[in-house]
Amino acid sequence: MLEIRQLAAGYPGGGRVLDGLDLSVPEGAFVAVLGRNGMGKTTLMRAICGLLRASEGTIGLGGEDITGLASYARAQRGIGYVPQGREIFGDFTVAENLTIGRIAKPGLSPAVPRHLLELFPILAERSRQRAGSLSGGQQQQLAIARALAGEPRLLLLDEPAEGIQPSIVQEIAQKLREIVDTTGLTVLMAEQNLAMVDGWADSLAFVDHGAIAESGVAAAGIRQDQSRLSKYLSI
Amino acid sequence: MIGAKREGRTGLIATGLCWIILCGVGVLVDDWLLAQVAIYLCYGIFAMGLSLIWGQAGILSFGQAIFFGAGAYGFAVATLDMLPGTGTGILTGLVFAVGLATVLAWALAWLTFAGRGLSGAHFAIVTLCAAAVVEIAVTRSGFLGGYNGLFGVAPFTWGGEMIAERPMYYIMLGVAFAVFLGVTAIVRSPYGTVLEAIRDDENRVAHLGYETRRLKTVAFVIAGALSGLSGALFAAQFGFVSPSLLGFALSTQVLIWVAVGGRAVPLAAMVGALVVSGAENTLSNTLGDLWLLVIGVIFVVVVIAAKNGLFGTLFRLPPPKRLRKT
Amino acid sequence: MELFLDTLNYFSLLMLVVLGLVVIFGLMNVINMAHGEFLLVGAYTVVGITGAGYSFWLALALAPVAGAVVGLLVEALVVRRIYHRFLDTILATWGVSLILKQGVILVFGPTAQSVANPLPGVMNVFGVDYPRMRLLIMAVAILLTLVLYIAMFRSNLGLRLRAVIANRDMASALGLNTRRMDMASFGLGAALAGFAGAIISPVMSVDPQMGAGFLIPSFLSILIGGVNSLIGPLFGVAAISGSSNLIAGWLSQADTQIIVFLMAMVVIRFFPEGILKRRQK
Ligand SMILES: Nc1ncnc2c1ncn2[C@@H]1O[C@H](COP(=O)(O)OP(=O)(O)OP(=O)(O)O)[C@@H](O)[C@H]1O
Ligand SMILES: [Mg+2]
Repeated sequence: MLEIRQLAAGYPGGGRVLDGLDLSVPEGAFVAVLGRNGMGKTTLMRAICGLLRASEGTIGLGGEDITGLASYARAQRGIGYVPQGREIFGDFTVAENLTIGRIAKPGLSPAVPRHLLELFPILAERSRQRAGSLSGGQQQQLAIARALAGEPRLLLLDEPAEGIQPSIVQEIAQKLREIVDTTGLTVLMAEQNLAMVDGWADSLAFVDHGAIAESGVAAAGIRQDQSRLSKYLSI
Repeated sequence: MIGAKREGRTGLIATGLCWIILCGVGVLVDDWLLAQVAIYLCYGIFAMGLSLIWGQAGILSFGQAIFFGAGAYGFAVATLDMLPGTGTGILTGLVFAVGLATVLAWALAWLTFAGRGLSGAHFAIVTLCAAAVVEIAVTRSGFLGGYNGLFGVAPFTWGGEMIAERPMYYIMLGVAFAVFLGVTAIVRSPYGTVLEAIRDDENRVAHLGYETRRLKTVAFVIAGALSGLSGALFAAQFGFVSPSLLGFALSTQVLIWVAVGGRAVPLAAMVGALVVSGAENTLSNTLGDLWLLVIGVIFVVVVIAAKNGLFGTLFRLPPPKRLRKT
Repeated sequence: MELFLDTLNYFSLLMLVVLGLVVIFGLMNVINMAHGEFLLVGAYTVVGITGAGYSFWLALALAPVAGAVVGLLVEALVVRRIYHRFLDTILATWGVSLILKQGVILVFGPTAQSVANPLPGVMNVFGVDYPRMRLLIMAVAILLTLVLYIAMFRSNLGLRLRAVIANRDMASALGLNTRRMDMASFGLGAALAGFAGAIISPVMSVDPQMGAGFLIPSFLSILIGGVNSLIGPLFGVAAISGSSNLIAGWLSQADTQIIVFLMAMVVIRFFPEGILKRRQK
């Protein structure tokens, strides 16, 4: 589904953050990217969804080269993005946040599908509330639901467990797994929280100083893998 | 780094040449034109004041003519003996003019920078509004001659005789040169560097512990004083002041001069004033209404594409020693 | 009653002008100094078309188109290059205003033109005989404000626009073509200005300075009320037009202007985000 070859990207005046990054995510897989703070996870996510231009390398989505496309065009080709820090529209209502996830894509009807609301009942309950007044965990669910409302083929999640209590982390992870299993959605998730990964993701990739140091590692049992944990996450 | 050094050196040479040429103009040009250029030099001083706050500190004011006009009216009122007890002395007039502009600039700065301060957009609109208010108020003021303004402002005299065009030109050139040295010294001082940092990110400078509000106020007041000085010099040479000197039109005109010349380099701003007003004088006869269209297009293009204006790169001096990398 | 209608009359004129400005400044954060000249485009469209013998109503329908065309040109040639340079947009659009005004002078001359009133006569409202054209303008102003409000806050198109304004990157990552949205809102703002210029042309003297007179009051209205919704500018317009008309009862027009501008400056000084914003919090 996603093929990244020799990707290089960075910020104006900040030099290269990613350099020579290779990663491939098969269709229907749930892959987690792990790495310490500042190793380039967010930069990778932004480069994939097009908010940051690649200076070198290629990004392919479902066989098509999307390297040169603007971010809206990538979204329209099936990339959904849940950014770090959630970035929901705080002044809009919950319902408006979900609607915008749909009407941003040409060809989707504005009505939010019922299964989405069943998956996140708290959002249905609070649909008329200002999104900014939701709790952090609820906002995270809203951000995920907003991305799913656009019916993506590939969902990018950037540290969805950040700042969220353990029981909700489990709940969110479980829901993601459920969606992957039932709909065949492909998921690429940047994380540091092992509880979001262990037992839920299929495989892991470790990012270190802007490149993938190791990939295709089984997610199950990662909590016992002391050598990798200390090497890539300093635990 | 070598390239930058060389660029700085051409800037130094160009700056020197520019002043030499201006000295030469005093010998080569006829009296009538010389009187014109002397007036453009007033505009040049005015422009250098604006370049200090806009180019250096990033304060975009749409009301600088308030201070130019305050200087002009202040000088006129004092020398026409309309104020009790001041006499008609030129020097008193100059002091009063600059003092009035300084106080007004300080008052406007106090109003707009106090507290959290106004953002760039709000500041621009409030100064625009202030210029309109002052222009209307002066137009309504009988004491200040209303719509017609004040006539018969005394020219500069020496030993009871009016100073002729040529010496007057050199006096103006001397004043302009002194202002140039002063503004350049400020821009190159550590204070100038902080102003530049405020332009780029005021919050960050404030977080570093600087009182940005005071620093901006100082710059704004200096610019106001310079505008007042230029206004007074203008009134003395032009002989007559009117409400258009302190309104929106002149405020925006000086923005054009400075933008076209190069906002961040004082000499470039001054040359911008000389060149644009000179061109306006010669071309507006042949081009008529087209002239404003042409200058509008040039202005827009410069704002979009040439941050340094037409002369900013030419007159850029080498960076001060303390900022040079070794 | 007469005073009320006069106030409502000025309110309507100002509101019509402000609507387009709200879209461009309030929503896109571009201070468009050429807004007054977008009005001119509309007004002179009427001068041109009625001068050629066609009806005022046809001109009124074409004026927003003319406004939009000019607006889109300005957006493409000037504003899109400097969206991120906030202060420069002020300067550049002011340069554009100079160009447009001078263009109008070159084509139509510097003197005032008059547009024949398409709705002569008076109508009796609340016991007062009031010019019909002015009543039409009031009705249109109120209607247009309502329509714009609904379009912005109750329609999906408005939701898209507001999303781009609230968070550009996120909106684009969701699939919105932000570039096209920029053009749409700038074009809409300019079209509204063109329409405003056209519909007020029969009750004003149409001259090249016509737009400049509205510039300060309309920006002040927006700053006083705050730009986060349409209610803010509505409040600002009411404040400016209301106080202007009240004070004009005692003082000359020029003195009124001075006082209103000064009051507005003081308000902006103490409520930089608009009066309503603070009260909400
Ligand atoms: N906007 C920016 N401008 C310049 N440099 C940036 C910017 N954002 C991130 N960086 C730099 O890029 C590098 C990678 O940052 P990135 O945000 O991708 O890390 P991350 O792996 O997501 O970290 P975290 O776990 O803290 O979210 C860091 O060194 C950071 O300083
Ligand atoms: Mg990150």
